Amino acid sequence: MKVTKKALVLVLTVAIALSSVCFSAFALGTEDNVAYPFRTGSAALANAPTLVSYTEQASGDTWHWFEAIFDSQTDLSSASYLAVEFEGVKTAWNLTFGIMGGGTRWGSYTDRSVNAYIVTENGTVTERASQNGGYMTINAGEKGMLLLPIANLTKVGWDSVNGSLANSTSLFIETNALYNWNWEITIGEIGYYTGDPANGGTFTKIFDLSGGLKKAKYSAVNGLTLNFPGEVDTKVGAQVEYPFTTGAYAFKNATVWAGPTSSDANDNWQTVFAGFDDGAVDLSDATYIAVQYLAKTGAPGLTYGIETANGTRFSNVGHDGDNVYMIGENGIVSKTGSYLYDASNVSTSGALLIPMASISKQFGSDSNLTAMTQLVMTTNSKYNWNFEVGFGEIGYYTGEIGYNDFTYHRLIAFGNVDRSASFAVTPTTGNAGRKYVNKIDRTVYGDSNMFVFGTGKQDGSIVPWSGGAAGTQTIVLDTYGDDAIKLVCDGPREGADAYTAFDMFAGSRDVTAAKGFTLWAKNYSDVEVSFNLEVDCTGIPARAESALPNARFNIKQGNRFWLYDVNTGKQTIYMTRPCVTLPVGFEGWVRIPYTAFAQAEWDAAGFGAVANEDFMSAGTRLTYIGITVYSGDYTGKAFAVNKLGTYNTTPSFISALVPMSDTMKNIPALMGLED
Amino acid sequence: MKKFLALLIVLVLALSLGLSMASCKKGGKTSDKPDDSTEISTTAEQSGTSEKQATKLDAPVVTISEEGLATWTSDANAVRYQYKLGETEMQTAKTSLQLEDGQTIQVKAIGDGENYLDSDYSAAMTYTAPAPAIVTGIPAPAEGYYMTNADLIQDGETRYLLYTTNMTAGEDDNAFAVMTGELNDDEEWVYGEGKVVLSAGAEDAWDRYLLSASIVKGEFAMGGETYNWLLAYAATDLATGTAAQIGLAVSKTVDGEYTRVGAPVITYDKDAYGATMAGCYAPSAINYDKQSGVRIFYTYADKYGHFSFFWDADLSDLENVDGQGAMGVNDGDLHSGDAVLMFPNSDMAYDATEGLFVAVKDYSPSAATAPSFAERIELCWIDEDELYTTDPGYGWLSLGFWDTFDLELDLEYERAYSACIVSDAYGHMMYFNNSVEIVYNTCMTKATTENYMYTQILVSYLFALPMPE
Repeated sequence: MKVTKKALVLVLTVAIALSSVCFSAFALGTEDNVAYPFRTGSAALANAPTLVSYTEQASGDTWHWFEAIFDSQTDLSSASYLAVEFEGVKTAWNLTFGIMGGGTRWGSYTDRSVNAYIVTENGTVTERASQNGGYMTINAGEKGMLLLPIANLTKVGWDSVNGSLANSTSLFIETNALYNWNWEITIGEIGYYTGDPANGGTFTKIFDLSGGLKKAKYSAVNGLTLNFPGEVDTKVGAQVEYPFTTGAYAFKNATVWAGPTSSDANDNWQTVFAGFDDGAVDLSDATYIAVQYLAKTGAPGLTYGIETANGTRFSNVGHDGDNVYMIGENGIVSKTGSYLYDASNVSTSGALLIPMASISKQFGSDSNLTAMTQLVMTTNSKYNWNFEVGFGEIGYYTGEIGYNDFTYHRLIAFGNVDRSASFAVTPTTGNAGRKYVNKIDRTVYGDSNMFVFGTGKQDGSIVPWSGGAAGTQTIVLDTYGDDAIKLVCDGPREGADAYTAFDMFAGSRDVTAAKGFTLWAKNYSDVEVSFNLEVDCTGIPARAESALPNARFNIKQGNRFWLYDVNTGKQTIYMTRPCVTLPVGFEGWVRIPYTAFAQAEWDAAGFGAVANEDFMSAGTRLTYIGITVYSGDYTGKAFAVNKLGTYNTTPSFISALVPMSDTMKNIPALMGLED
Repeated sequence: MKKFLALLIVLVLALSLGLSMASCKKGGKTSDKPDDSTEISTTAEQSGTSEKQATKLDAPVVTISEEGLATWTSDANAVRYQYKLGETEMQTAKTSLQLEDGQTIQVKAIGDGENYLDSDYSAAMTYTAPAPAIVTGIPAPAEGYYMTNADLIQDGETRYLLYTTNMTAGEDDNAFAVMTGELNDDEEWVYGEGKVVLSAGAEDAWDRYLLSASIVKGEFAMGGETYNWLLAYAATDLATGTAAQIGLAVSKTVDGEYTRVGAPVITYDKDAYGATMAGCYAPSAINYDKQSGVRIFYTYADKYGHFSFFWDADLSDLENVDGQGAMGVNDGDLHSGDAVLMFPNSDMAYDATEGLFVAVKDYSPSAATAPSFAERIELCWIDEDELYTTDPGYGWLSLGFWDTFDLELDLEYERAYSACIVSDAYGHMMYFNNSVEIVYNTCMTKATTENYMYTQILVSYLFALPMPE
């Protein structure tokens, strides 16, 4: 009895030990929840083939065979589960799943006490009992991940090859059409787990379909048909948050890379280097480089790379056929091109996505992506010239865009300010492109409409009136980084008028609905500067019969006008002394009401008086604006103007005693400057 | 018998005559007594009814007070009165009517039409407003001293006169002083001694030379203390008195020593705009909300002229002052001798009820001879909303415009300048029987005395506002 008892104890102990081993390996239970590792939703199996059996029973043993070759040979000897993404189209019975390992079939050939599991997209777990012979059933409508316990796999009996799961190369599925027919299942991506999938286990994907179809990676024999879907890139159509600024001014002040104006007879590599704001950045986990890309003129073939400080470059060279993507401002991802001759041509603007999966080492001594310092884009001016492409913000993503957790990280900030210093443009030889800042003038600021800008002008573009005092015009930047017109009176000229006059506008505009003129201005001098606006108004009733229908008006002393200083945030009502008067240090917005204008004395004397009420009255048009500076007081006193236009609402004085309201607003509120 | 018959005839005749005479007497009395039965009988026979005869009312007697209030005698039998102003006839139950200067009134009593008939119109009476009287309650300075740039406020039954004076006779060492005034039994303001409340700043201070000031009541905190009075003052670091700036000082009592807040809050950059220009002067403080929201009007002057500006701030915490200024309105139907209308040296008061600012300002240009002070002052007002916009409005509307002759001053005093409006303690308007009281400066000219600067005195003047139409 003692011996028997001992033997019983020993048996129980071994059984418990075996159970213990088994459950440490297969600890998954239906109460668990597993983080679903594959894509979800309707496009999850977009690149997956559907296995289609005979629709009629075979007349004899007919072993349907399917095989999907892993992306690379994989050691599954320590794996706990093989994970297969699937969907049942028509119920399939008696499927044997297995792995080709070292040339040996490892399949679910025998019954096991441990079941397989099916995990749905929401992570719920259900058991899938192994039937006689280890066969599995996939029901129509089922979709998710099939978890096959590795421990259930045994070598097929007749296989004499002594292979190993350490050298696993493919998944196989087999069944006999003599007994199982008229079934269809879709097989997607494949991975495996080590450890408990629900409790800290690690998932590794070994068959990835995110890049598209892999027709060459499948094998189907003995009457089994593979139906491939149309080529669908699962990234295409994904909806993500657009990472950059949008709208008409999204590329305002972007750095534009203008290619050489002519081609080269020989290879000449034009390169733009974009240095990251924070120096070296670890891009090991990056999935995409994202470039705020402006296709301004042409679509040059660009090769993308990233470099370390040591000059080691990782690029898309050698990845012809791989796709390049674009996120539109609507957040929709699209394929925008694919590499051919190591370059892609991109003809649309948006967030250009350069897949890091297509980036590999091109040259250099550094071995990894842990310290990348700049983005490199090259093209060959032997084939690509006269193009203009722009770059705003640059960043990168981690995670799979649009599907699982993904995050955008900034590499070069933009914010619509001039970041051209971060971009270097160099050719291999002399025929060089250039860079410039993409200037876009905003024509509407709230209640104001602008029509005179510094953009497009160069130093000296505006030549002062030859009959007046000397002057100089140069280009400076305004508060918003836009080109502004800097003016200075250089002093009187002998025999000439005492005023320096600059032409600002000539044309014909209906501005009768406005209340007055507005402009951005800055006083560069150490004294208060005053200048006049000389304005021609045509169509005045009093001049209707005249051969000279224009009437010249300008600003008179003693009128009130508005100043809003963008630096102090202060708005005030100032007096024309004698014209538009800029206090010392002023930078901001000026509003001069039409009521501050009166007909120029010389105009009235020469062509007859015109009532002030006729100035910009209904039916009239604005035909000219000039700026005049009195050399007697303001020689050498520079100031700048820009964004000259008209405003439609009279501001209100706002203070601690006079609060803003719906009917009383200050200039920044009326212009939307605080948005 | 003949003798008896004759006697009888005589007696009968005599009796008849006597009766007849008695009847005649009775008839004569009837006209004085409407209740005489004979007369009533006669009247009844004439009208064909039995009613009494109606009596015509006497015409009222009209008198007019110095203030133009017309009153007339009351008649118990009158149902109302009818008055005539020019061609206009109106009826009223009252026995008085306020007249405007020059209006002529006649009044008649209206009877009930049955017992009493309307009276005739009274004699025509015309109201002629008396010439403005000079209030002489403000004391004159001692010899060698001057009082100028007054700001007079009334807090309840007490008046406080803030003014600029010199600390030393014959010198121009300015300080600000406050006099307290109380009403005596004759309804005259009697002022006490002036107390200096702020002296000139240190040698290198921005306020080395004091110019003019204005005080308001309110709540102003600084350094953990709460002060009840704020003094806004113009000063400069230049002995020329030019390039002025405006700063603040506070006190817990109106005539106590004021503590400077610090740097000027309204600045003038003499390097940029000229050290010889007046700068920012003539502050006029108004406690807009009667708490801590203060508006300071002032005059800004550079080479283009003298113009009105204002500055708003919440001064509840004087250690965190964030003011906002603007140029005020400088146009309207004002008197001016300049090519461009200017608004120099003004004082303001706020009529919150009507939404008006009332101002009294110097005329421009000032006198061509010394002293170059203004020779006239002008009272005007403006709709508050016009200050906050550049849209065209009426601008300042003139209410009165005077020189020293209009004000009936001694002919030696040929300047009228630097006036203030007597307001309440917050700088809000006070009306005295529909009049505005103005305190202004006057002085002799250099042609009269070389010491003309020390002839500067303050004079009060009560101006009756025009009646609204």
